[in-house]
Amino acid sequence: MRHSLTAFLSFFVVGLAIVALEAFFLAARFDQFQSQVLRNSELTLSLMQREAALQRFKLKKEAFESKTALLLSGYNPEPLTVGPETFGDLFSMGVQISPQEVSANKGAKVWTYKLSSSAIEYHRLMPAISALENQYPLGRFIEIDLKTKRPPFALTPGPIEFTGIFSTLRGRQ
Amino acid sequence: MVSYGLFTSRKERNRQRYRSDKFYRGTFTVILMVIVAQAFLAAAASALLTAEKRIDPETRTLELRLTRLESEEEQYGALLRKLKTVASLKPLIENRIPATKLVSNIEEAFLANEQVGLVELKLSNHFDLNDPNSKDDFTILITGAIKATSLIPTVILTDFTKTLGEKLPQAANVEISRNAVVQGADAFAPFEVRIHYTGP
Repeated sequence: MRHSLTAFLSFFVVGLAIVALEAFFLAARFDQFQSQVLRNSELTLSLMQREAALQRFKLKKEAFESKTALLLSGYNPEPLTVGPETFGDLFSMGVQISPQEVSANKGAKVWTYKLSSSAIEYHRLMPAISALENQYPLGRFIEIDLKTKRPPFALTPGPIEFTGIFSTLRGRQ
Repeated sequence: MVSYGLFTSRKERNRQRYRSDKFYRGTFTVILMVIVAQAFLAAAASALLTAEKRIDPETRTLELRLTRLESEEEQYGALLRKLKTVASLKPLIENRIPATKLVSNIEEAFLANEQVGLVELKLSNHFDLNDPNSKDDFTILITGAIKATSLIPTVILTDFTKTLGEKLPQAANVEISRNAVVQGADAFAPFEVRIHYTGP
């Protein structure tokens, strides 16, 4: 092979390789730059939306806090402590309240409380039962049994036999 | 151009051949083109570098904003988790039918029918708290009495069940499971009414 042809081919191949590699590297950097620009614009938009949402959230924070506290009332990993704060007038009026599950029972998905009384009149008992239901939106009376202790059509109100089972959903840890 | 030809040596003729050999000229062209390409590539690289430097502060600012926003959002994490819990338990809360509301409806029916008295009310709800799609499913058994002095206890009981149907939600099913019949010298005619109601 002629020397000139060899030199031409060598220079051509090496020159082309150099230019191609540089162009490839530059193209890759350009792609990276473009994707960074795109990422930045997407991030700007998402940040604006998230910041606006956070602002709106901050404005309603207190309302959200009070609402969630009300709606998730009784949704605890531990059963309610029996007392006037948790069982209101029912406790104050002397209704017997006993939790059916102990807190150590990890398998329990609901907390159940048995309520009973035989010394309270219907007109005093029902508002207290109703208040308990309203206090715990996730609670339900599974059973209510009301029985008069006196013959029907009594002219004065008398105490009634009451038993009830109230359940609330158990909160996760 | 240095003339060469017959009177020059072979060595000199070989040395001067780059002037006429097309491959040597091609080689020269290749070198030139590579140099020109290098110039273009250098210009492009410099422009790219400038642009990259220009967006660097913007990227850093955005990353800073993101970090700040995430830490701010983290402050409200507990409340957000509570809101998510409320959202997941929404059907349980929204679809709940308070048992006391039904008892109150029954109470209204008794008040509307003075000749009917309540002896016992047994309410049970077969709601499954473990199933968020479960519905309140009430069964209520009312044991009552009608004064024996009433003319036709069965008619009074029918009126009472009609009132119950009006006071209770529409889907409630009211049926007499024991009709009011006066037995012997009893002062009251006992009866039993069964109500079944499944929430919407």
